[in-house]
Amino acid sequence: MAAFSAFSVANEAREVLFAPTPFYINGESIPSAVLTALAIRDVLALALSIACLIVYLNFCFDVVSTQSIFTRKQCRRFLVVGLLLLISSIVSITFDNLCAVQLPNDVSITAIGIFGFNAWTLVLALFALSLSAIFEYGRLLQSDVDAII
Amino acid sequence: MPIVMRLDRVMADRKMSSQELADIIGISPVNVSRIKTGRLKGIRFSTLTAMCEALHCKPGDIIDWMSDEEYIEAFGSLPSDED
Repeated sequence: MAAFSAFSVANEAREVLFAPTPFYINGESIPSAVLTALAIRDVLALALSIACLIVYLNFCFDVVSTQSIFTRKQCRRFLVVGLLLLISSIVSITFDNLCAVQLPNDVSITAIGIFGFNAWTLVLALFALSLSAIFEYGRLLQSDVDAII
Repeated sequence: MPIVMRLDRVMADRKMSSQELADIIGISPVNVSRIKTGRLKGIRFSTLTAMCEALHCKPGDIIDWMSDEEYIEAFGSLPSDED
């Protein structure tokens, strides 16, 4: 998960900083609103990737320092990450449909894929939410075991 | 129907401190205190056996049961579910 987050951060950073700006498709200039949407998408994706990476690194640090992984803070971290990814998936679907009306008639949405619904984001969101539920159950079991002397 | 721990009485009779008992049993003094005050959800048979051997007593000397009325009369109120 850390490797995936790090890869996402690097990829999004590359797109934000170094990717060439597409101005024309099929001889038609792309509306500035669409270009702005592309830029916003890249920045948001970069921010989300960095957030996921930071959350995961904090998780690893806490595990090493406290020797306990089933804590309320860890559960909340996975819940926040899962919700962020889920919201990102929903936003990408919504904006994908909104940006479609901005394009010239002969350019299909798949040619640009403004936000482009990413199934992996949804899968990761469900995975993070599941982890949060599992860690919450583990926290309850841990507290029961700790209370038995 | 709460369970009441009588470890403090037995320790006083044997004139044994929490630190001494903790060292003999192999648990921390904090856990001995938790047993004395009843702030635990359970006790392992191994721990109970070690306590009985150290204090030369039976489990019934350490663990007691009181009805709700008796507990309220002795301690003022019933223990919360977290105890």
